[in-house]
Amino acid sequence: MEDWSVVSAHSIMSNSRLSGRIAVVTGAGSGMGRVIVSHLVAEGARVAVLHLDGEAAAETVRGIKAGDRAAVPFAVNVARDQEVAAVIRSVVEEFQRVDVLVNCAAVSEFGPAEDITAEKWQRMIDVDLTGVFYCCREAGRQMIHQRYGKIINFGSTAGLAGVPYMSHYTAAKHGVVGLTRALACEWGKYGINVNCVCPGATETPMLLHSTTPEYRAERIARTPLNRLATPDDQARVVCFLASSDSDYMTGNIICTDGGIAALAASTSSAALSGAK
Amino acid sequence: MILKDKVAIVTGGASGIGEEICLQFAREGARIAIADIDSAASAGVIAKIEREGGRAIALNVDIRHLAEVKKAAQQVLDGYGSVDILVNCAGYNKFVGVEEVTPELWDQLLSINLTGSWNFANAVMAHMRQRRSGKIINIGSAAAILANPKCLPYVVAKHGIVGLTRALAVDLGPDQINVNCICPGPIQTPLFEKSTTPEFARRIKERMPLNRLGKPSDIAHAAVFFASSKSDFISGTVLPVDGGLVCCIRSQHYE
Repeated sequence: MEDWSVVSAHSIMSNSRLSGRIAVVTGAGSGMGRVIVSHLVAEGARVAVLHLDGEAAAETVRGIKAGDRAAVPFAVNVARDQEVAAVIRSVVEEFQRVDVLVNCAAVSEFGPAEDITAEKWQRMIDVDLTGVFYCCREAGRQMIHQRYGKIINFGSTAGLAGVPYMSHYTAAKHGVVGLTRALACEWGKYGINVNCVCPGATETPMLLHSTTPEYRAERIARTPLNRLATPDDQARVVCFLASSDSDYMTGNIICTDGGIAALAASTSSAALSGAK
Repeated sequence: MILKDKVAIVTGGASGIGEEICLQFAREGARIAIADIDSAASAGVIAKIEREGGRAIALNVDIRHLAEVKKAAQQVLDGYGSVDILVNCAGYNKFVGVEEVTPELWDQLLSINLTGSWNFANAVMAHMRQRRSGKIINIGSAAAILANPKCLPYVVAKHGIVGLTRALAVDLGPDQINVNCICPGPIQTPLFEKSTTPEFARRIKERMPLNRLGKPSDIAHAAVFFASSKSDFISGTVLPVDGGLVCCIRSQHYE
């Protein structure tokens, strides 16, 4: 039943789409995760800020200019089953519920497939795929109990097409796409929406650290919108998927990639000058 | 010979990919009807097929007009007694900025690339239904799956080919007619060479996992498979034959 006074308050305060919502964001101590936290808070949510490094999570919280305990830091290694279970328990103790889960924690690395060791492979799968599953499972239990939830997984354009020299990352991100679809099918009956955002190259510390300026320039030249994504681009889509504006969307894969997934790999605006 | 005594209509069969499909089909024992606007080139392909001991005829038809297409299909039935295989290979592209897409160009590219394929399927489907057997193979393009810049009507028409393939597969399936789509990547054909520069070809190759342009025979092999009984339980599929192009996002500075 909709409380009219709440609806009215929403429409008066245009920035409160997520008012009263509790969100959990992993990988929230840096880059994209940190920006997502500030967008969620700005839209009215209170946020559990999860990161491998608790100090980085605390730094994100210090940067939030909002009411007391609008954001609370937690340290967790998402690749560890029991740690994830424990941190979600702590979040529920603090906030009583989990309405939104944003799986943003990930590692990324380039390397020829023939040189990827068992350890490198395992670390990538553990963090980028298994970690997403653990967080979905633990937050999902709470959401099933609530009969409400919004899960937003971060895939990548590498979740939809092969990226050379990132075979382990590509495999993990394809897995995230599959996981998203399976959970959407399984948990729809509990009122849980599960969607996946697939960013193209986004200006984050992770990208700047792992790529050369030439790589980024070449990437921009091939992107229909002719620029890299900003973390804000991704955060806005996350807020949409966290809000009731997307209530009938589930199992969706949303490319936030400047159009690159729509473009045949062989071509770019620049390459086209070669056509007579 | 896996197509022995089959009859195949191949549109655009006088050059490039279509020609190679005609030659390979003939070598597998099929009798060929070539529907192409270039009748001199058709005659050349027929001569090649006959030299190898095969049989082929030319159909003088504008695929954009259903009445003409129906007449041509009847001509094949009269001459060969059946139509087992239809390959819609006739296609045409023009690179042009979106602002320069005139209504005339739009109509021209849609009618050749899309309406022509539907016309031929339309003209043979009653016969195939009656015999409860048939193979329709539509030639799409990488541009049927993803967009290339500056060929909007072509991209639209080729995406339409995918829809045509699936709709026909669904509607004709109960009568055991298989309908599939092959999507070639860049193929070394006279059309490709005429419309691109060597520099363009070089850059495209760099971005393809298999690092080479396709050959018409690469596509013809897939067409033989879809025409043969080896694919009897496959219908409504879209098969890229593209050197890995559409599965790949490639950033050259990491290679």
